[in-house]
Amino acid sequence: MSDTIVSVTALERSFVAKQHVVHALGPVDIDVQRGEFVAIVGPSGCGKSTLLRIVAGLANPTAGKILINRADPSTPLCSMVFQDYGIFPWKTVLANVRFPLDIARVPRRNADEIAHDWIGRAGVQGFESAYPATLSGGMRQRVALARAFVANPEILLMDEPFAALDAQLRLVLQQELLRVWEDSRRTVLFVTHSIDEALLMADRILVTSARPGRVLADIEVPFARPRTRAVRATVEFGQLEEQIWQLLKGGVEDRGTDNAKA
Amino acid sequence: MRGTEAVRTVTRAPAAVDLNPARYARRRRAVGTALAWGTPVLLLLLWQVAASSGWIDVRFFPAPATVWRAGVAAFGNGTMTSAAEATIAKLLIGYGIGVVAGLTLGLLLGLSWIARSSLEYTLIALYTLPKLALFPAFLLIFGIGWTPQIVLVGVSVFFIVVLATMTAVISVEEGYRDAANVFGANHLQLLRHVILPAAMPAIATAIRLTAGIGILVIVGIEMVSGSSGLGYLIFERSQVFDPATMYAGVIVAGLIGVIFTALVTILLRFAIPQQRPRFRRR
Repeated sequence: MSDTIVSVTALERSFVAKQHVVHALGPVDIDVQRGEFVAIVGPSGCGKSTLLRIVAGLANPTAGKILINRADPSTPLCSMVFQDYGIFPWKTVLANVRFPLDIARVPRRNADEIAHDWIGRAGVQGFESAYPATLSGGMRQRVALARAFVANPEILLMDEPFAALDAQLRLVLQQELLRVWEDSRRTVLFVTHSIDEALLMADRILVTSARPGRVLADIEVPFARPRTRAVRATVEFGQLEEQIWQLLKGGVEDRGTDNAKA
Repeated sequence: MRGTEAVRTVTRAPAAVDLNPARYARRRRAVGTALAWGTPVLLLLLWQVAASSGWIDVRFFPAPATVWRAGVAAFGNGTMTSAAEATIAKLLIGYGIGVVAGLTLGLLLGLSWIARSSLEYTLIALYTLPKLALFPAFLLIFGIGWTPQIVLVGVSVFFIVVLATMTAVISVEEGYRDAANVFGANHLQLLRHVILPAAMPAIATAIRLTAGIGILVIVGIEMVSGSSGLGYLIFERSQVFDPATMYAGVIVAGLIGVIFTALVTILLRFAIPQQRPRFRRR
């Protein structure tokens, strides 16, 4: 079980903003096993998104490195679900979901078939020819999920995918993502603000500190799969939630006093 | 405390419009259309009455009926037809060249910071030059005839389209580019699937505005140079004191402007899929 797919070593990222350097992330060291669902929980601005962007190749680190050990170099490496801007307003639902296949030059008929399959699994069938502007926020995020899965990537990156949804819709989509993921397990890096969401979804939770983001704790989530929201009612869930909150609270309160001084 | 003792119950109930919205929408549309056509018809009627009853001097303001007859006559003997054809041909060629060149260079400037650094300020400097001041140079370079006029239209359109396109491409949300890059899109795929459609609404606005500018420029320059087109006809008719035909020419030029702008607007709608009304769900 030491099939490491992502190994992050002494990774750092800083930004130059108006003459001074903002140290956003790191150094962090993380190993992610193939097929593992890893949630990253931390306060805002702790570089969680930056870490995902570096894994995706959308940004480079300023120190350290990430090694990604590919099982099949001919398949797509990453998909990403964004909090917003994910799907294109000028493409229909079908064209949005098919987009990764179009980029990979999959023949149209074949691509349509795969896209239809995922549209069905994501629960947006019947809306294939609709444009995103006519869909609700929840439907749009389902489209974004379908598009991420359609590419059949080795690593799924999710950057607070449900943050913009209302609380009820969030519960529904968490459940559906769990169901889809448990059908076809693949490596997931899932950034979230919500401790509850992380405990429900993940095999492992990395708790990160405020800027510069560092890993405060690496917590195994003991709940069996397939998982349902029933785990929320267990004593263990509450204890873990409290443990993570205590870790985060320190970071959040530190930041509070920092801001007060500034 | 007025009314407190008189009204105890405040009622919120559907009004007639809420009970039958379709009927009211129909009525609103009918009234809207009647007003849109009624206003110009009323103005023409007033003009006609004013002219025939001698309130205005028909030597300068001939009655609409007189203008209509002069227009029909000018179409009948072919002078208006050939003038309109010349204007439309010059407009289409100049506008087409200006839009295509502006779009191409604008995309390049938007995508490549090297191209942008080398050309942006030079283009802005040239853009602020009055194009009409360059017309004598165009006459020297291209000789007399249609070519310098077409070039003037093209240049007027080009600068607006190029700068608008460049700005539109730069302003494409980074998130959309990321979403494409994460799936490994190459430069051409990024352009086709993301940059062009994302920038299209802003580019379309520039293309639509320049349609009107194109007709302004061509009719204007025909008045001061050359011997073809509606601008020339309008000016020449005023010189020989034939105001009826002159006004007919003005009206034809106006109609061409309206129709051309409308056509461009309709065509552009197909270039912006998310705004294509037939796919819109309500």
